[in-house]
Amino acid sequence: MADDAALVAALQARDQRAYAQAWTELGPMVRRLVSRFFGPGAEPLDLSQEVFVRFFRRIDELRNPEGLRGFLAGICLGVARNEARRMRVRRWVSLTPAGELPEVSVPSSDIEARQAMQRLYAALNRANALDRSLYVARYLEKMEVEEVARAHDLSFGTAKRRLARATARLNRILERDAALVSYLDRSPVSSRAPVVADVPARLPAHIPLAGRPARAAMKERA
Amino acid sequence: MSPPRGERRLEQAAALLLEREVVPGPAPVPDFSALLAARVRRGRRRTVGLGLAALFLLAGAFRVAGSGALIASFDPRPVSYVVGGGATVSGAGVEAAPAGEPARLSFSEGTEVSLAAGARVTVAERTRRGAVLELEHGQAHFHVVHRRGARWSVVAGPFIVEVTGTEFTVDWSPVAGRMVVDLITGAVRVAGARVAGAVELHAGERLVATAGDGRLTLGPAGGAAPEAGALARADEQPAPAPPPASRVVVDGGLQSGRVRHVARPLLALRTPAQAPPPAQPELPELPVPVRDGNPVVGGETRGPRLDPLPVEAPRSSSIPQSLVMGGGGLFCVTVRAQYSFEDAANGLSAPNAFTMALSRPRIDRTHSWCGEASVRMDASFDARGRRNFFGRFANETGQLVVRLDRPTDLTGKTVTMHIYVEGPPDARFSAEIAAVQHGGWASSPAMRELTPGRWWTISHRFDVENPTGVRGSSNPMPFPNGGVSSVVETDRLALAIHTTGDRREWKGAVYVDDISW
Repeated sequence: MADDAALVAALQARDQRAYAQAWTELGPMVRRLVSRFFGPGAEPLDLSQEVFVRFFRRIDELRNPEGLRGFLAGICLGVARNEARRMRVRRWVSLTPAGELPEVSVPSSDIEARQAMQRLYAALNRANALDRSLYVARYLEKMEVEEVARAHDLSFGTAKRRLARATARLNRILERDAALVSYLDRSPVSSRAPVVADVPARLPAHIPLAGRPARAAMKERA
Repeated sequence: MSPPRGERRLEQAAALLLEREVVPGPAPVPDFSALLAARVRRGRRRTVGLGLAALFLLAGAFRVAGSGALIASFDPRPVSYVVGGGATVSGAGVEAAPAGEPARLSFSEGTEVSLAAGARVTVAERTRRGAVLELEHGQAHFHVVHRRGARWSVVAGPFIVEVTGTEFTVDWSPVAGRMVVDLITGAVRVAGARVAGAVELHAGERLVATAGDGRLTLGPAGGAAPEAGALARADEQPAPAPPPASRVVVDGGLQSGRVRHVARPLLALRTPAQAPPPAQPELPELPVPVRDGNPVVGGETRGPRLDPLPVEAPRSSSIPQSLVMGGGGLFCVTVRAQYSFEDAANGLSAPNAFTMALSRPRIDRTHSWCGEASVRMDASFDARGRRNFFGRFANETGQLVVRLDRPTDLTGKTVTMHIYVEGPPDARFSAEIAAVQHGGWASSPAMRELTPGRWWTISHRFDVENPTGVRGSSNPMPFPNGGVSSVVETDRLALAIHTTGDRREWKGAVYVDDISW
């Protein structure tokens, strides 16, 4: 997109007006992603700010302006994973026996759906940060596998394997809650559910990958 | 071809979440230039810090035996103390005899505290760097040994004197609400009450501070201010006018005298002659606000009842008694509180796992909604450090938890609390009530845009089923404890105060009184 290219050029030139423009144009996407990662009740604003600070600092790493949104989504998921890990550690370290902790609040008038959502977030809280991130990217953000790979700085093959592993692990977690599984299995898949598309066998040549995944991609191409 | 069952289940889960998704609204643009600059500075500091740490470790490898100070700085034990002279000790409190030899506290690292006749001090907290001493009343002389990283604080009512190494005298009268600090050597900082920021004192200076109107007067030590020790004897009398100040700082600027660096620019020092009347009205013109946490409709708050107007107090008093003491007025006659906090403070706690802005709940007799006492907590709000479990800064929110005497059914009942916050005038905060049953927190919606310097009544009616983790409350993040909570066997009541508005960093005190339902 020409707009994205101009925005990237301005950001790379450290044009301070571009910061506000990036926040205005890309902020909703980031806040939505953070909100999907942590669920309703999360306050995505502070994390979004952190995402953008990192994004602006790393903007020079972006070679292809077309990959702007994927690049930002990758940073966002990274920040969210770090935060999820921190929260988990804090929960282990600081959980008081008295249980001074909040409960999930979800906006829904359908009591059954509300309970299902609460149980679902409980299950997601038990998953590790990477599995949760892969789930958000693939199933909530509807990313294709290669987009998931780029957002997680993985090679295509590794991303596929990890997605499969995450799917299996999340299912095992869900299966511990029979009521939730029963609810999910009898609800029809919404029209908004992700479409499982045919994925290309290998990455397009223009997608830059860094570090070990890049080498893995080169091997694949070879 | 349909996807495998596991994938299909995750898709159904995603559909469930997406169908009920709340799209975040627009947000103001942060100051990214400042944030990026701060990040660069932090990176540099971290590099320098790591370098220094490496150098220090290297030096330590060659120098096995360090000096006493060096060894002391690594001693993880908190400072200890012995009490001597004419003192009566009860728990952590030390009280000097009404006449005779002064009481002495000698701390292990050399600091000496001497209490004048009748004075009482409590050692509220001890760390390896120092201690927090609460001067409950009377005059005390402090000689704090200067050490690197030393942290000593003297709390006198709403004021906090922060010390690193110095010699000074503090005289505090809780009834007159007045503190006098005479600095002999070194430097101290005084914060608290309605003081915006902190005041720095240098050797040979005297600070007179009154809690009621937040007035601070800085002058030479030994000036015309009340003699040290006189305050305790003059408790029952109205506070005399402070002496003319040799140097007055008003709202960050020096009006006379020499210029010097002040730690924070937002000071509010005023002499009686130059000062305009205190910004806080002596009496509120409107009824004491009561809300049940529901949205304000048409400028009217919907609450379970309206409080009567507070009883008018004489305007000549230096302390606006109608605001700090007996704020409940006629309300106190008609409604009996289950928890009035007149004497005992059993079952009070300030959770410090995730919300840390409020600390040290204890009975205080300078503020009261009804009766003569309330629960006072030190407040220190800021938005620094790492985020807590709820994604917020731990010091943005503070909580008071009251453990009930017995499990109580609050279904259909309206719980009411009264709070008074001392802090800078531009501070804003929200407050909410929560009923806790078996670890499940049912919170009221937050009552927002509250201001310091007056009593606020917060109330909430609990139903059979109460949503938990209300959006916008202090505990908003998802946590797998269920979405509704009953309050049939409520074992604790909690109050959460969250700093809002533009100013997120401030210190002061929070008073809570008369919990009823």
